Amino acid sequence: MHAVEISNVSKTFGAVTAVDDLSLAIPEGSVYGFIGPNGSGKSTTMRMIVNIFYPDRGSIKVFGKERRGVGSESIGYLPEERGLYRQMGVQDLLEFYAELRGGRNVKAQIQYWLQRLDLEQWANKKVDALSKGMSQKVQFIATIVPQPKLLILDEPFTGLDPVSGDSLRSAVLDLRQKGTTIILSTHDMGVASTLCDSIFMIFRGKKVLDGTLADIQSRYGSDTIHVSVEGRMGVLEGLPGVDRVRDLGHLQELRMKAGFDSQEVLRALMTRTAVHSFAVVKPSLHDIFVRIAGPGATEEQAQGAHAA
Amino acid sequence: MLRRIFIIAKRDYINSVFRKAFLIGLVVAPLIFGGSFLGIGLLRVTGNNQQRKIAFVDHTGAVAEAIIRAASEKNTNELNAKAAQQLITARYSFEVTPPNESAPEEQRLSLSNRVRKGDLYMFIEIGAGALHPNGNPGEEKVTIFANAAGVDDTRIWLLDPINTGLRRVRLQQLGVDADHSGEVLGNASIQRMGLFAKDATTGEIQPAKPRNELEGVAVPMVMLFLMFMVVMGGSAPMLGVVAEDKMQRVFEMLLASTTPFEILAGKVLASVGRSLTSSIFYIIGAILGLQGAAMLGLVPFHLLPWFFAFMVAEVTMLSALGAGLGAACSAPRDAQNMAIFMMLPILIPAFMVVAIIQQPNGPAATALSLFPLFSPLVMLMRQSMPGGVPLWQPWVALAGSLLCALLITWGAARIFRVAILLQGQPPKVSDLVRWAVRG
Repeated sequence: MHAVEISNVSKTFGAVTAVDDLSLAIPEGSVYGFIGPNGSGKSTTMRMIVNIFYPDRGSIKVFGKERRGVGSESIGYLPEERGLYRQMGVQDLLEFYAELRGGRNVKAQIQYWLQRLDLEQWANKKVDALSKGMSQKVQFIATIVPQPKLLILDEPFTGLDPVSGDSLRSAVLDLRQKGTTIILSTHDMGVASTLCDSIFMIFRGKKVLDGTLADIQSRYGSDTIHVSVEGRMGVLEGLPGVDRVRDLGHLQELRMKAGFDSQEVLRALMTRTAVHSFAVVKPSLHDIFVRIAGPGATEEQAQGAHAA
Repeated sequence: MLRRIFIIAKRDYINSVFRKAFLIGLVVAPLIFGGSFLGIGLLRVTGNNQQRKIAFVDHTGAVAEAIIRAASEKNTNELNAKAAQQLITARYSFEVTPPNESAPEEQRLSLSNRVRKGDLYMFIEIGAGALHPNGNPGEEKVTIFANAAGVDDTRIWLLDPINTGLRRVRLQQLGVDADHSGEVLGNASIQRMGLFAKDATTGEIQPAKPRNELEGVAVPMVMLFLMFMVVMGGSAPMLGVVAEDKMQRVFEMLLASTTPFEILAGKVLASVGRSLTSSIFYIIGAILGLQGAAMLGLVPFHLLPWFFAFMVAEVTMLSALGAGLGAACSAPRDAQNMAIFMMLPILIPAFMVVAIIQQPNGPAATALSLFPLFSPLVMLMRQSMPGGVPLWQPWVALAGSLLCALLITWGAARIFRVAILLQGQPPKVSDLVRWAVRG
């Protein structure tokens, strides 16, 4: 069964089409990553799943039911815009959100999560006294305490220090382990690659990628070469069969033109300089993202990405 | 749905009522609102306590003394009456200045300067034709010169002594004995009474009760004042609170588990709770205070259910409106600009208070009291005035107000849903209307 089924959904704000004929099925119990440039429609899609916005066209089913105009206690939602009642105590605030969503065994859950995210000593302090990162963790706890079946996290790791980020990542994985379906949006391709079972990319309101990382990478073939050469970037300019060169530091990344053989590139390279290493790799998610939505990306490339 | 509404209402109620600001406001609000009435009263008392010296320039040469005698009698009578009630009234003294027929303008300037210096309170010039009108309007007048001659209450106070003095002299000149002129000119005592009524259960005729100024004006004013205060206290903060919560981005997370209508309904319910809390506090305080002063009879107990019903309707209307408008704000300045729209339903009746008191059953007061936005204040005020209102009117007004409250809540919830996550330019009035109608 799918936790979320989005069918031909469109949403416009005035003259701007935020989401354009989007269809997506998110399996129950998976971690689904939403990626895309700023303003591409990720948050709008999430808000439509949560029922904050209603689609202009199409339908959205959550656990098999359309729920337009009805509040849901089975969904936990951490919005991108962080905001809490600043004059409330942390404990009171968490109890309020949990009560609102019909949470059970709330006090024990709150205590457990405050302890786990190292906020126990802040339970009786006002939200106003917390740092931004701590507020974010409190908001995360408020989202998960009622034990939702579907958890939607809009850029949950933004602004967190590495320790807090790891704590949250571990919490997300534990929740997945217990069967919670998780949708998270992120600009960190590392997070998307390592944490998500499937990745969905939206660009200019349209779906351009959807599938597992391996599926997506295989669609882009093996046109990427990582090399380590004497002379670095200086000797790579104008190499036949190479479309683009990117300096990764100790390594350089070459992208081949369509139809070229990697062996030809290696031969050409060896005539120029000493080659320390040469490996044909699948393109990274970061690279795929940039290909679709980078400065040089065209409408055709973006459309072609999903068709690939 | 109801459970979530109550949870939101509970949070809002606790977070607003159990705060120093609310408790301080509970005490300070009546001082601020009542302070203006108290101030007017104090000014009247202290103002009246002053010695007021009035000069007469009598061109008839025969009237000034008679007017002064009539004024002195009135002043003495009032001072005695007020002293018995432990109240204070003005003490007048008089002087007669012979007219300077050769230089009347210089004399008027000289007397005006004495008024400016405070040596005189006013001076009165009695025209040569005032006693026996001679067809020359310029000479028939009695003219009062004072700093505030247009509004001064002494002008009204003097009308009676001036006319009495003139009539006494005329009667004397016609040969009527001075001892009988008082009988001729004496005023009848007028007693103000309410209406007779019939007891609905026993059928007995109930005699009319005496009406006094306190009952006729103070009770409706206090009811208006109380309603104004608790409605303001309950609903006025809504616009700013919603705007501030929106700016602090607290609504998006709430909207994930509740509907906009539930949030708005919870907030409105909390406002009603806040108003109920403060009104119960004030009413119990007033009852205890009046009981201590042996004036418990002034409390219109039969109107208290109407007071609470109208208050719930008015607070619902205004706080729903405030929530809708607050949701449309993107900056504190927007909230300040919109506040006036929210307050109009209670400001307009407050501006009309004098007209309503003068003609409580006139067409204007009746129409205002049946207009749902104004009903809670105006109808309650009319109900609390002696004589009351026809039985059907409060019911129609209440039904209209409750219906209007429901409509406003419905429209405001639609505005709230559309506007609560919008940022940037504040919407135009046409946008608000469109959102309220179309959602």
